[in-house]
Amino acid sequence: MITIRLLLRGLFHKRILTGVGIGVLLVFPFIFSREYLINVSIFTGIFVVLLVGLSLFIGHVGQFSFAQAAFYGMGAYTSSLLTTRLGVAVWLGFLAAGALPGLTAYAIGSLTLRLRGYYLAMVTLALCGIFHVFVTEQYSITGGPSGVYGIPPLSFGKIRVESAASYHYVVWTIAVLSLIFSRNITKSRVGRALKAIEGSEDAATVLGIDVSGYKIKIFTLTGVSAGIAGSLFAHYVTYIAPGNFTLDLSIWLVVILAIGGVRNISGVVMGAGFTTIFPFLLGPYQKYNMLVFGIILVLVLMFLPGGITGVIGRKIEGAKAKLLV
Amino acid sequence: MALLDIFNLTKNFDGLVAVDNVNFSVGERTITAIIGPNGAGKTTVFNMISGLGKPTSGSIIFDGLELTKVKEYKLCGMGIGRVFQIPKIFGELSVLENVMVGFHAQTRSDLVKTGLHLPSMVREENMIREWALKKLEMFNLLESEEKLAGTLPFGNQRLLEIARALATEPKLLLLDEPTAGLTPAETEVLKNRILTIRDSGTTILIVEHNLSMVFSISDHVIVLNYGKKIFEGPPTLVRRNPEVIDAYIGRRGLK
Repeated sequence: MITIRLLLRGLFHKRILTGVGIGVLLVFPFIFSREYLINVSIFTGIFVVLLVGLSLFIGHVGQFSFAQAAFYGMGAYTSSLLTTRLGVAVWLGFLAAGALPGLTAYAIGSLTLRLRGYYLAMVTLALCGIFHVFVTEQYSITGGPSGVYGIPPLSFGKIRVESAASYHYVVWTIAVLSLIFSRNITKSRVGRALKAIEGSEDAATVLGIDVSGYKIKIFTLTGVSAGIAGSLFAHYVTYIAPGNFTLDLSIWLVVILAIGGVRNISGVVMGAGFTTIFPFLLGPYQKYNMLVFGIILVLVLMFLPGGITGVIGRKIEGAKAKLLV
Repeated sequence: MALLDIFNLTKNFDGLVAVDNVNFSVGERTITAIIGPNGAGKTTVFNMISGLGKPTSGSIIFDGLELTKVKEYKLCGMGIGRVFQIPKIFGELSVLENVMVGFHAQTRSDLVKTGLHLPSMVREENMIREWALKKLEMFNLLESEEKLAGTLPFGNQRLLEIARALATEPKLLLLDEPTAGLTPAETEVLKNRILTIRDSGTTILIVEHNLSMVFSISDHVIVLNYGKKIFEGPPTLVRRNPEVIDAYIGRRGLK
């Protein structure tokens, strides 16, 4: 009896869960050698990076942004064009892919986040539209609707990341590091300040918290992380086109966080995984994807506010409390 | 010497004059009370002093510095603390974390330092945890340390908010109706707390409807009505002034 209890308590322990997760990631390419399964894991990792900043922004600052697809695309196009057209080293392109959307986010945030309310959400909707028109129409720069192809694989100096298995490790290293980074932020002075802002902007202000400054910083972070994700995507698939970066994706990302649970890391990982496998799950019924997705969203919002991981978290806390008695 | 000087302070909300040409001073290490009927502009004055809304005209000099040109979030670091009429505690943070937020302006760890979990950030974190625990001990809130602040009873939420405001080490503490919603026993406890805070060197500006409390603790009373100052003086004079009695206390209010 006691051993079972200890085992159950162990399973509920966050550190052990994290350890098991990282263990699975390490052996994944050895167990699942089929290319399409490794693809699932790589795209999940890329979506984790894409979602991590956004989850801080929505879950801890209480703001919405629909710019994620534009920043993702900006990152993908920046490093693709720099490496294919100008012959820039891939690692430099990769850094630029984080920097350009970051700067764009900083500029937009500085202009709109000083206002109270959800102006930023509207501006980011427009940004997505503008980005899409720009990459489609500016044929001479972006290749127009036919996109950019022949993008070289990731390489850092002499080390080239070519096989799917090695790409899996690179992507997940970046994904896990960004999750740790965001978790550290939420458990610290900055995280408390963000929760304070979400609780009451007036109270936060009189306690010396620069409310708009923090909103701008976290929004900048959404740009940087999306740009990095975009670069990871482009150098893996080696071909990008405007259709990869539409407003649909931005909306999907916001909604998937609401379903997964926006407050914790497991919500981000779950959202990323779901985004990747959702098309496979439907199989031949692809054309009903929006309908199915809509129904799931409504059900989650009605019955599981706080998202799936929010509810599981509470259940685990409850079970723990019972076991500890 | 005055810690706070207010000159010709005016606030217009779309044509409605909420505060009309108000002047007053708050002496260092005193308790100054602002009283007046609802809508007299008391909270608006508080908002302008604590940076939540710029005055339409006039100036606020605190510790020799003009406040109206300072960025709102920097006022805390200059020594202005504020407690709200309805406690604005952070319900989703623990009681301890609420007080730790009070040390925000005295600490420096930014996004990068906290994200990378640098040793300097860990040291800072341990330090303010200790400080915050001491503040909780002062307010007998130590046993609720880990509870979510939103689960505290109302009276304790107010104490927590005062503890959090004191964590910012204010020279001037603004208390907006601190006894509203408290039981007589809780009010008595709070009254003694306020006196202790004053004795430890913090200047207090208080908006309060509980007049017996106002008259028993304050050194100076300012009376507002329809945004104008109609009287100011020591409590003994205020309670005898006919204009004040007409506007606010009522002829049968104090016998």
